[in-house]
Amino acid sequence: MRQEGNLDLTGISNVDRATARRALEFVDVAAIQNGYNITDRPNDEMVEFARDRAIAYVPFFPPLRPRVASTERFPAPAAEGCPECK
Amino acid sequence: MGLSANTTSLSDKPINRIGYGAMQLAGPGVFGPARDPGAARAVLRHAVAVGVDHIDTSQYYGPDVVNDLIREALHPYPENLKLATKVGARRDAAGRVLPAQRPDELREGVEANLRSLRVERLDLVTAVWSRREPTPR
Repeated sequence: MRQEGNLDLTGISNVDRATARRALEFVDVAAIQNGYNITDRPNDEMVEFARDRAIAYVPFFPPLRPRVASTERFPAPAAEGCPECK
Repeated sequence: MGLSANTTSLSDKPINRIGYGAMQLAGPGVFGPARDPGAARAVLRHAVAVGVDHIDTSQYYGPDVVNDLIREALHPYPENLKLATKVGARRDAAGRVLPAQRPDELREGVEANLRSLRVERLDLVTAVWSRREPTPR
């Protein structure tokens, strides 16, 4: 679809190093979007991975994951398909 | 163009370090309509007015709700505004988030974002990787 002009840059989200390396074999990666905030530091290694390759690191939930009642529906399914809320 | 503390680059393009993540504009649980769509549109317009040049969204926020708000508030988009979307998930009628990672589903996701944002080209499309199969609930 990129070749068809439907999109400019591609990113990957919720990836570990092995998955990111595999993605890089197939496609240019402009951004890696994983979690990152003061309580979510395991992604330090992915920040480093991105920095070493001049890939933008786009953290989700940088100010901490919202804890309001309105997210009740999202967190449980998050583990299934939307890791932004894991 | 020099990069200041507030600016970085996305690929070779300058971009502000802080963008606006629009996920929470949908209803409770990122599902269904916004409680106050007018306020949501005002937030989006205000974000751009104060210098946000990058909005993060997806068609599966709502679904369609957040992209619709962005389109209604900001289309035609300022030239410097980058729209970053995601593919790889979908919602069922109960709001559950399911993986949608097959090639045809990824293509469908890109097309749904193009359609709801009303653009011919998306600036950044992120494929969300999900390792798990959906679980019933």
